[in-house]
Amino acid sequence: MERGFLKDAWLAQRLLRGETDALRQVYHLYKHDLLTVAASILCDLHAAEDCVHDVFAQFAAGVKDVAVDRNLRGYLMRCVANRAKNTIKEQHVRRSHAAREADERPAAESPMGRLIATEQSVQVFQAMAQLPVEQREVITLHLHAEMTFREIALQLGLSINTVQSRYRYGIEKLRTLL
Amino acid sequence: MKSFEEIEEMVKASRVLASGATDERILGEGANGSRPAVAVEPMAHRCRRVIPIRIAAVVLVAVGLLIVLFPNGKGLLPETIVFADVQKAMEQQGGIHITGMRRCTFPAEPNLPEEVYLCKTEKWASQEGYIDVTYDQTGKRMLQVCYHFDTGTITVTYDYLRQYYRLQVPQAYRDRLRGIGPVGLIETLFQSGDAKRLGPEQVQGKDAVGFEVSNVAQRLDETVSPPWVRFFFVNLKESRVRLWIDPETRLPMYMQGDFWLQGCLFSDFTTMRMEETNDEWQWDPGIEGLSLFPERPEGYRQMTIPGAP
Repeated sequence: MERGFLKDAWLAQRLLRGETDALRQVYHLYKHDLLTVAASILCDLHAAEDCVHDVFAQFAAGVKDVAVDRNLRGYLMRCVANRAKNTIKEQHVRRSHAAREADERPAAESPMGRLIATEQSVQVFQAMAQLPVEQREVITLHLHAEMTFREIALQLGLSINTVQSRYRYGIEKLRTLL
Repeated sequence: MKSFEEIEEMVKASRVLASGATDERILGEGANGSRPAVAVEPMAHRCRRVIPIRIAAVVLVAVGLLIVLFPNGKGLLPETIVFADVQKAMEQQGGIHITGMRRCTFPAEPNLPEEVYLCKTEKWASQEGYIDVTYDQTGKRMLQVCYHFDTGTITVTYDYLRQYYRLQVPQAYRDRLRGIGPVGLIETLFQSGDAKRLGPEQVQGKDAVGFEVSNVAQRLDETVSPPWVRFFFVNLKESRVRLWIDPETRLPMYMQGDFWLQGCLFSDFTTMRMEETNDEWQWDPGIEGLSLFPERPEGYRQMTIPGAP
């Protein structure tokens, strides 16, 4: 996949110009990354899908106000991570994935029917689910969103030492789980 | 139990892929989801107008750059390299032998002209220790520094001055001082992941990707140097290091450093600018036959420095 600042800048330019399919292109370009970030933080595939949906809905509505000059991917990643964390805060994710599947949704509409994750990925998400959300967030932003610890610290309003500690403790905990 | 790095790789490799049904649900491409699909109708009515010629210029520049950066149409692999890849690749090597050039400039002072010395450098490093040798342009050895990690023995041999200096690093600092070797230095400077990215750029015939840090002294102070090392050996001021990575092996292949040193042993206790280029990197060469504990050569004087560690 061609990915990088130049492509982001070009897509952002097209979005600002109101090109019909620019948003679709942005979605198709980054959908897997964004869903992965959401799933890593929420540890729930259906909630991850909702999260990405909500971010795109907001993005489509307010794109002219967005200060995206170059790093569109990074911007979207941060939006998804923030939205995922808010979802957890709002306690939208109360039930386990299994309980949700057995709940009101028809099987054909279940997220497992739409989202594809390897067995190992599911194992990782299950292990991530056992970490505090603060550690999950830092791990996801660093490893999936490819943000530096300094960027994460700025984003979360924390010291770089706190971010690095959360990361280290989180990975150490995963070592015992995987 | 899996290693820290293996877990990082596992997390990085964990992915969720959207199926067509997800696309339909989010974008409304032909299906009705449980949530309303994102509107993707034209948005021109609420976007600012852009001067056409400016757009044309942007397009031309963008297309030109894309042709340069993505010549094969498959994207540019080096762009995906992150420092964690480099660290992993380095960890699999037993050691390193690096050669390069060093330009030392002593700025002019009242009654003293500027002095410039061009030197050749050679470094070996392994799990056991680190050797750094400086030669003059004729190949004659000027200075050698050896550090044995486990015993904390630093030996400095000044061939020009025919002097010899040895000290024992206190136990508490030995592990931290492993970072003075090339691999340790690279990790110390770049592992935080916040280095400026460079390239991809043609370096020694390869599309190398680079990393640059400019606050070298601060990074070393935070992780490696106890204060006495900084003030005695390498008292760095403003300094910058650029590291270029071989896109195929993920290993460092070229490093440029621009260091200002002030009043320390390495700068002859005066101010010195040291520009260094390391352009030949041989990984896993072995350092058998090289001593990390060189004896005092015949005729060399044991150096004593008042107040030195």
